[in-house]
Formats: sequence, structure tokens, C-alpha cells
Amino acid sequence: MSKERSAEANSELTQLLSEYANGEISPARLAQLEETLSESPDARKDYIHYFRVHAGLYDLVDELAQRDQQDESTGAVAAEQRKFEYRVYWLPVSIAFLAACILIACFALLPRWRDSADPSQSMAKSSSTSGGRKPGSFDLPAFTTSQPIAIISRMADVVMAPGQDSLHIGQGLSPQQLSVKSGLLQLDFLNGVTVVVQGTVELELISQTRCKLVRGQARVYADSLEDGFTLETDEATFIDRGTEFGVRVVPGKQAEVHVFDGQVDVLPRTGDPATRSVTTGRAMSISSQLQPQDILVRPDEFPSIRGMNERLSDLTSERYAKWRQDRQQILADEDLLVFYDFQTDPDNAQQVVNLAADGLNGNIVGCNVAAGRWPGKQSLEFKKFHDRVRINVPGEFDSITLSVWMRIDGFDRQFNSIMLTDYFQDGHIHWQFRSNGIVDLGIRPKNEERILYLSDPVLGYEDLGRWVQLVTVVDRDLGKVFHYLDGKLIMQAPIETGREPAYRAPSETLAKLRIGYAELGNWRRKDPGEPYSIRSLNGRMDEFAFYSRALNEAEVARLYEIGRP
Amino acid sequence: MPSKSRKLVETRREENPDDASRFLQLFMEHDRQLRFYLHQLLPDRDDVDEVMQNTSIVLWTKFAELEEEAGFIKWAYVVARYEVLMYRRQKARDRLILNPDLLITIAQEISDTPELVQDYQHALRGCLDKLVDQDRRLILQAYSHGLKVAQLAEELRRSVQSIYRKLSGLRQQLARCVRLSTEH
Repeated sequence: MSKERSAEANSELTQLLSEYANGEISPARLAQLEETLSESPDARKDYIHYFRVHAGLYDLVDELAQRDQQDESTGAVAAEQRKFEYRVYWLPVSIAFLAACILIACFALLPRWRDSADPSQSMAKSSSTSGGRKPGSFDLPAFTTSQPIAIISRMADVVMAPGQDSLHIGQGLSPQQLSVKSGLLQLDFLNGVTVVVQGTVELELISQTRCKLVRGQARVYADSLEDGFTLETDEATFIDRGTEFGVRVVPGKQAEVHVFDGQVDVLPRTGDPATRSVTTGRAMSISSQLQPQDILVRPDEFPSIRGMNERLSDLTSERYAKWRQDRQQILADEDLLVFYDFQTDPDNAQQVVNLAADGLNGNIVGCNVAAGRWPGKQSLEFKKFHDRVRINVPGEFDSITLSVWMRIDGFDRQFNSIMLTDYFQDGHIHWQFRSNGIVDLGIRPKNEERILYLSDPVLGYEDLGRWVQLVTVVDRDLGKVFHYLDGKLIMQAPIETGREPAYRAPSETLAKLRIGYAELGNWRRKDPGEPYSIRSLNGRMDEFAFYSRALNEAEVARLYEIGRP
Repeated sequence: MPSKSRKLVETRREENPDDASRFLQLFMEHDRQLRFYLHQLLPDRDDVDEVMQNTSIVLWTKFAELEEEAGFIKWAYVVARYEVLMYRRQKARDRLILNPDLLITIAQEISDTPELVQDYQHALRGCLDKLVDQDRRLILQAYSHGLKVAQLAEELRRSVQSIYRKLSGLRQQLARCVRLSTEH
């Protein structure tokens, strides 16, 4: 600091400045500071240097916070907004009028400039930071801490027994009773053992290395095991010794084991407790009434991975053919404006062709072609940071329906794009999902803060890698917004208020909805000065549709039926 | 003033609907700079918020008095300085703020040695980078909105006084560093 003053005086001044900056100065010390500052121009220079740091730090954290998280994040901004409304209320009426003028004009003029800050903040409260979230951190889907013992890896024609919850591929199973009426089901146990069951089956999952077959038939592939696999029945326990075998149980009657490869040890429950070994090409029947007997091995009678493959291959080609046929019903809809199936156009590989009408094609940026819902069906993969499909849907809409078949491969970003409009003003739409599995539609009314329609966190880790259908409907006649997942309603909320964590005042300026320039699977924000955030999708899309009307629940369910893999 | 300003706005709107747009553009352009200025006069963030809002309203009502747009920030400084004084008068009882004479002198000296917030920010970031991670985190946390030093102290399991001391030291360090990097 300056030479004129002694080191002691300097240190005293620094101490005073610091107390003043901290807001902990006493009246006496303030008087002392005032005296020093009035007397010495150099002290005032020090003051200015010191308080520039102070001011600069405020500016910096504001900037960081704005960049970090804003706009469509939780209710923090909305809360700021309300705080402002509250303040305005306290001002004399005419000044409130002025403030309102400025505010309204501010929103109205949003598109034309704004290159330094978000006006809702700088006008309302001259920028306050929103929320205490650390940069780069976000919530992830909830998960149970208990590990599953097996995963459903494949299914064909599965019909569950009455009262049983349906299963889906990728589902992790905890210890439980499974009751299947018909179909083929493949379970992969976490220790590497695979069990395929077929037909009417009751299976009790006990642990990663143990299950009980109560009824029906199963084939066990246990050749890659670490710690042995035990299949129990009422009649006997079968312990595999590195092998492939089939088991059939007729309840109250007998259990059979057929060894196709390797060796299985058999421990009958009743009668002679001696362990018997059954080896490749042999089979044994065990019942409580009779001694264990050798029977003829019948590999063809048991379900198998190969059988599963064949059935799935038939099924998927049937499903694919059926979909190609049934989608004519979708395409016949007069209000369908956009329908992309992401099938490569050989003449223009960078184009996504709109099958609903001429024009409104999309342009592929990056993106690899990948397998879709069925073999032969293509999809687009959004993996790289810049992968996107550019679209342009002009026009204004009262009601709309957005539909997508997609495969989510990760909850990588706080906001993950499905379809985001470049601009977010005056009726624009942001359709995305959050890192914590919330489906998120945002609409920006002309003169207000965005309205959010948030589902509960419906997407979770088990949804990764499977094809899901998401549909969002804005129904002006019903005055509601709906989200559907796989044909089922998961959220409904009034258009005027949305569904947000904090209270939001009803919108008064939501007129028409619009898309204009937008993109699938990514975001290119064009609003000048708005903070940009990375919203690239990690996943695939294999169907995207946009309707200029609201589909009802039955229609959405039908769409799901047509499209389900 | 209220009735007068209302009249002003109405006249303005009739005369030139584009004024609002021009005003807001200018205001947004200089919003950051103006806050930066006010933070040098008022240590407390809430005070700055309040004055900033009052200032914005006055600027808008008197926008017609601004002769050329290039002079906006200078004009805004004058209005803001006046608003600081008004605010101090209102809050004199419960806020400890420097006396009016000093505020005027310092405000004048600040505008005599203008510093663009963007440039300052650049230098400040450079200096923040020289701090050890822990210190940098502490100071950014302390300036983050809504977090009171008392809470911060509790979170870090340290006394309020020790946090204040630490912050003082860090500000001092940063002030010295920025000064060195901006004054050659």
C-alpha cells in the first residue's frame, strides 16, 4: 500500500475495510474508518481497490451461477420471480406500474437483444443467483441398494399368471416367486448362470446361486460358473458341476433332470439320501414314491437359448412387418405433420425423411445409424457431443402431440434433449428428460417465465438400453398437458400452471405453441445472451412424430401397441 | 414524484413505443457495470439489490432526459449515486453505511478511475486461479447468494470469526494481486 502511511496504519485500515465488507463493523469503528478515508486520498484508493475485489467477486459468482443453472432448472428462478412480485407490491402504486411497464416491455422485447444477462433476473432483482447447486453436479435416478439376483434378459410371447406383475427386459429381480402362464423367458443370474423357462412355470428365485422350480420346465446353462448353481425341486435338489441340463417338474408327482453336457449331482429329498451323479446324455426321474430311475434323455423337449433365438427372430420379423403395416394407420392421420422412422435414405444419407407429408425433412448432423427396435429397423444413435437432427416446423398450434420411440443409454446431462427449440420464447417448446428420470416439458409464454410440466422421476436405471415410448400431449380443449410412458399416463397438469416443485402463478400470456427451428437429441440455443448448457442425448431414436392436435389416451395406447418392440 | 412519473411514462409511450426497447437494451448492456459500481459503494448485497431496483425505475422515468445513448452509463452513475444517498438516508438507523460526504467523494473517485467490469473480472479470475483450491472455494461460497457466513462457518465447522479473518486475508491477497496485474 502507499508509502505515506505507516505499516501500522495500513494494517489498521485493512482491518477496518474488512470489517466493513463483512458487515460486522461497529458504529465506533465505522466512524474511525470514515475519519481515515476523509483524511487520506491514498486510504480511499485502498478502499476502492479493496471494494473492487468485493464487487468483482459478487459479479463473478452471479455469472457462474447464471451460467451453471438457470432458466429451466427447478423452482429457484420462479421463486426469485415471486420475490420480485412481492417487492413490487410494496412500492407505491404508480411506481409499481412503472416497474411492471419495464418488466413487461422487457419480456416482450426479449428476442431482439439481450446479450449480457437474463432480464427476468437483472430487471427483477438485478440478478440474484439461483440455487446453491454446485457447477456440474446433478441428481441421478433413485436405485435400491440391494442387488438383484437375476436379470430378465430376453422374453418371447410371455404371458404372466393372473395377478402377477408384467416383466420387462432388463428388469432386475430380487428374491421372489415368478409365475408365468406361457411363453419363453430367459433369466441371467448375476453369477453368470442362465436359466431359460418355457410354458407354465412357477419359479422361486432364492439367491444368485440358487432357485427352486415348483412347476414347469427349465434349462440351466451353468458352464461358466464361479460358485456352483443349485436348482431345487420338491422331490430333489440338483447341483450342477459345470454343465447344461434341463429340469421338468410335475408338482406332486415327479422331477426329471436331463443332462446335456457335464454332470449334475442329485440329492433326493425323501427315501435314500445318497447323492447320485447324472452325466452327459443321461436323464433321471425322481419322485417321492419311487426310487430314482434312469429315463431317456430328451434335449429337444426343453427350452433353449437357440430356441429362444429362433422364436425371437420370427417374432421380431413378424412385429416389424406388423409395424410397417400398422403404421399406415398412423400415417393416415390428417393432423400428423411429422413422422420420421429414421430409415436411411440411400439418395441422401444426411436427411431424415418425413413420411407424413412432403417437406419438413430433418438434417442429420453427426449421428451413426444403429439398430432399431427390430432387426432390419434402423435408428439414429446420438452419442457424440455434437450429434443432432436439425428440424424446422413452422406454424402456430393450439394443441399438439409429440411422440418418440427412443432408447436411453445414460442419464448423462442434467437436461437430456428429446426435442428442443433453438429459441425459447413466445410459445416455444422444450421436451427433454432430466438426469433424475423426470420427463420435462417446458413452454415459454410470451411475457412470462417458462411453465414446466414435470413428471415424477419415472425413468430409472432399468430403462437404460431398452426401447421406450414417450408421448406428450398439450390439449387446449381439456386445458391440460399429459405425459405418457409406454402408453400409460404418467402425468397430467393444467396448462396454465404446469407442474413444478414450487407454486407457479397461472400463465396469462400463453397463446400459440410453436417449434420453428429445433433439434432432436441436442440443443443449439439461439437466444442471445442466454446461458448455454450441454443437453446432448445419450441414446437412440427410431421414431418421432408430431401432431397438430391432442391425441387422447386411447389413441396414445394404440400408438404404443403399434410400436412396441 | 409518483404522479409525475406516471405521466411521463404515458407521454413517452404515446410518443415513441420504441423507447422502452431502447431503454431496456441500454439498461441490460450496462446492468453488470452498474452493479459493479454500486457494490463498491455499498458492501451489502441486499442493499445493492434494493438500490439497483430503485435506480432502474428512475432511469426509466427520466429516460427522456438522456441526450445521447453513449452517455448512458455516466448518467446512470449519477442517478445511482443519488439513489445510494437516498437509500442511506432511509436506512441510516439500521444500516451502517459510510457518511454522505464520503460516499460522494468516493463515488466521484470511482468514476474518475473507470474500470470495466469485464476487464476487472478477467484480472480477478487470474488471481483467483492462483489461490489454493480450498481458499478459492471458500471465497466463492461466501459470495454466493443466500449463504450467510454463519451458515458457512457451521458447515465448515469453524468459528464465524475465523471465517471472517480468512475472508479478509483472501480479499487482501486478491486486491494486491489484481493491482499488480492491472497497474504496470
